[in-house]
Amino acid sequence: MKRQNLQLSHLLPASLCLALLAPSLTTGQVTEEELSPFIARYSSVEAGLGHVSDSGSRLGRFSGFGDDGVFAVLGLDWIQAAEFDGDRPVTIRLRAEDLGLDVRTVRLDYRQHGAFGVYAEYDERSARFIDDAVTVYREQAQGQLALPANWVAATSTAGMTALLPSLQTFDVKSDRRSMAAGGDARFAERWQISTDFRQEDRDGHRAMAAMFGPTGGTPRAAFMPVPTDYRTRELDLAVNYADRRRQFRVRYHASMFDNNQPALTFANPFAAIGGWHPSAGYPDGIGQMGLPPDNTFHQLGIGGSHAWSARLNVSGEVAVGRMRQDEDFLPYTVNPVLAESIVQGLPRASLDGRIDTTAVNLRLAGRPNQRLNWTASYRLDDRDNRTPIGEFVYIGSDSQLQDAGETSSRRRYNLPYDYRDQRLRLAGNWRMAQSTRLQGAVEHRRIDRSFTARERTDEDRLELGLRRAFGQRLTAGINLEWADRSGSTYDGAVGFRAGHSEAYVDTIPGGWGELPALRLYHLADRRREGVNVNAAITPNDDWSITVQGGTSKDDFRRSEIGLVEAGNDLFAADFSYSPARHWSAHAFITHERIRSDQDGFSFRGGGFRPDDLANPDRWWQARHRDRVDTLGAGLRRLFMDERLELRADYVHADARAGIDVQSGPALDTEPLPDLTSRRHTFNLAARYQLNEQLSLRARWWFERYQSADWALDDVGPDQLADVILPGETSYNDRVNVLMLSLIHRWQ
Amino acid sequence: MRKTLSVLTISLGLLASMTTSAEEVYIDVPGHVANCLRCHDGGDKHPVLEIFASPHAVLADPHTRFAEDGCAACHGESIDHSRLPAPAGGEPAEIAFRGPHRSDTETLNKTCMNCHAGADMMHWHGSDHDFKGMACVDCHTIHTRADPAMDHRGQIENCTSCHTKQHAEIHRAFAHPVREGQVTCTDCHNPHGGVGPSDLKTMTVNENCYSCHAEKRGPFLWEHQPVREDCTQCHQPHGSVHRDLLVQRTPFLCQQCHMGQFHPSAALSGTGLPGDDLPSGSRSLIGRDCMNCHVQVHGSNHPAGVGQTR
Repeated sequence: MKRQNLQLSHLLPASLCLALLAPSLTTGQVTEEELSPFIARYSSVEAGLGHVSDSGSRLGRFSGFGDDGVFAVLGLDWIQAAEFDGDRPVTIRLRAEDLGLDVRTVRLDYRQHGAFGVYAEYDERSARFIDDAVTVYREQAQGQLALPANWVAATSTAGMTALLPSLQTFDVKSDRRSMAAGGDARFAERWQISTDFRQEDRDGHRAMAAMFGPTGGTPRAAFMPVPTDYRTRELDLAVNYADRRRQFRVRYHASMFDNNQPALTFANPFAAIGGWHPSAGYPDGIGQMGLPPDNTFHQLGIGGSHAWSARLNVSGEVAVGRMRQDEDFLPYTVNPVLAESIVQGLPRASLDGRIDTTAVNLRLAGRPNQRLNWTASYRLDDRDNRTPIGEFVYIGSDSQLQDAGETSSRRRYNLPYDYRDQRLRLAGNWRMAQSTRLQGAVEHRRIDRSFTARERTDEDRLELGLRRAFGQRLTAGINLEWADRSGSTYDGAVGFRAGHSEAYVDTIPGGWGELPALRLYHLADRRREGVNVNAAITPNDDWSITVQGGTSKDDFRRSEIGLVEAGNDLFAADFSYSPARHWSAHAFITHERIRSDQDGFSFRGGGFRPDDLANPDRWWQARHRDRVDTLGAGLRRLFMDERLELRADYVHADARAGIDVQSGPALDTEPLPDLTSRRHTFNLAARYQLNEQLSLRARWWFERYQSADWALDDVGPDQLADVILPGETSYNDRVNVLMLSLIHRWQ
Repeated sequence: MRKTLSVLTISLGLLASMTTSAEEVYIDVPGHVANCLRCHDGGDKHPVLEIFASPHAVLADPHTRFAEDGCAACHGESIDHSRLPAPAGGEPAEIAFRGPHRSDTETLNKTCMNCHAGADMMHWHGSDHDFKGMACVDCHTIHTRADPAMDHRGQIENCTSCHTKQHAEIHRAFAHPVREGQVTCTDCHNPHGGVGPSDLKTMTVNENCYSCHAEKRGPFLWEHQPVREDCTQCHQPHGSVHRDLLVQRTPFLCQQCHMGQFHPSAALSGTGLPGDDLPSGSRSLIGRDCMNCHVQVHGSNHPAGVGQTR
């Protein structure tokens, strides 16, 4: 039977009869021919070739297109689906995507509908950050980096005559390979148990600096390849109960992180300078960096939801957890000469770090009538840091003798920060009339912290929104936001005093570390105001247009130094056109301006200078003005009786970040160039059905990326006097990716 | 009269052709489904027949209501509609999910939640999407082999069609690989009501970040207070114009909290840029700026890592 025979318009006369005869004509049968096109499940295999024109492009950073040359386009989607009228409600599916790239995935699912399901998955992801970074280091043994035999040390890169000839390359990249398995099963009608296990291995290299020097005035650093050799295992178990009125869940989560390389030892390429112990410089100077320590997190959660009545629902989740970290401490120094000076050793062999977490999320949701709904919620995030405090007389970056004097600035105490965040929120949504909605919310947030400049911050927030429909085709709304944060007395020296010995603090004029006028932006008084207007227009059933514009401003009104003002403006529009299922198009555009102003005060070193503090000519201000424009458009169309599918997408993203530093006459400042990035991405994909089983797929991905960064561009490894850099540059590339493949499908 | 007779004759003829062809192979369908399919056929603008290829219509699944009630399981019995549908001047379905006769959201969502309650849907009531009056079908497509919202690439289109700010942010120069399809919205968020802020799947922001960045969890001997508190103090998870998804360019971001004597408080500007000579430039501005030395800003467990240089 042809599809057209079933068109409603053709059946209108028959509907008269049906109106009289139904439901007696409901036979409970349909023809196989009628249904078969719609119930068929196809498996498919894809094979072909692709080509990447250039390596090291920005596009290749995460997409798997990092290397130039030919690659295989390989994929599989094999499915044996449960038939709707079959006796065996089992679906088995094996999917493999991007097998020819280093972002491949293979997943096998087995599900017996209504009973249980299991899965196994293998996944690879690759992130490439810098191709061909450079370093003077060589791996001597695992965890040990050495300098070349003919190394010429100096106190500055200017004197390092062997620097450029010694450089070796390495890629800053991260490869993740994860294996996961899990499943769920129903039991006892309303109960379900589920479990997931995932193990991820991550390796690659980061670029980090091997730094020497005990103070900010005496540093020397050289970038080196720092290996990542991590394994993270995660386990989730949950037992769920659900009926129509109540549901609850008990769950357990465990995450275990292991780093197979806990430390990295490295030689010092710099000759000793004033302020260092002579043994710290080349050729004897060696240092050691701690790499991320093994850690664990276990969490037990209980959650539930109960429909108290048809109009009131209560739900909540409580989770208690524990983070642990107890990796053995590394020594204060690996330099044997410096180590001999140690008179006060480590207070203990490991941190015994522990944070007990309690998180609560409770919510009442009411809908007293069709016009009104409201919620009242409470949220708690409590982190009780039970890590013991110890006294550490540290040796600054493997470059000085231990100073264990009573008033030593090196006598330090670790600060196990506690954190307790509570939020109470009431929100309502009232349909005032058929076409008008009023929304509002009131929220109070209180955060308590330890060892920080402000023990407590309080923030009140108000939100108000009005939305109105003007007929069937236009809806418009406005949202207002106001928030005010304040808190307990601000004392910026709390952390400084707690982290140093009292005897040392007594030697410091004023007893502070940071300038007293500084206000940390996450603790400072802040008033936030924002407005957003939006409209959704549907000129007809085919078109949909949304437009929104908004602005917000943060006023750190009591901050003299630090972030004093911030804000952003946003305009966004989105268009979609979908006249038929064979044909759709969309477009979007956004324009954002992000601004912030920060004030600073240049306070010179070389002893305490009270005259500097009284000098208004040492103030400076940085005005940040970021502008981001993004626009995109795309279309999809089926031709030739749906045998040919075409898709095209274009995105243009353009960002410019300007930093304007102004200062008083005692300081010397000059403009900084803008930081820019511009990307054009064009995707074209076509799929042509050659016959029932075979189709041809072609894809073209073009991307042009341009960026400029004054910290990286034209900056060689020997650019700075006291840091040997990794030769990183910002991306400027153009890349084409072509893929051509055949897809074979079968039922 | 003649015209009426001819219409009746044609109608009966059509009816007969649909129900009595001798060559047809018939398939049993539940409830009144066959009746529905007389109009809701493959030619609909919103085709419905693919529901037979979806899990909803697996009749041997003891939990699917379709097996017993067919279309009525979700659309109500709709007796009047089956007698004379709305396009012919009659009634819409009792529960209509789309079109001008769409039922109210509460009714629609209740229909879905009759079966899909509990587990990750447990906190739907009062969640952001529920509060804003969203219906399940605003994101999900039921009558299809594969719901785009359940596919990681389709899902991104779905979410960003409303979350336009985030849509723009994922296209910024520094972002998680969302546009590359390596990370998707539901890797972090539960749109059905997450237990964490912003409908995160985890109870807190940091727990969520640690699921991929467990090496930053610690606790460390020398903590960096804002890092311990909330990763979003410094990072914009959906994308930033500044490297490492930072909310502001370093070293200026660092100087918003670190303004001590000597180098932290220096006015850094174009005077620190490299000149024509080698070496030249400020180590606080060039390369990784502050991170040229303070390489462990997420925390250090080295006993000498007080200044996060070890």
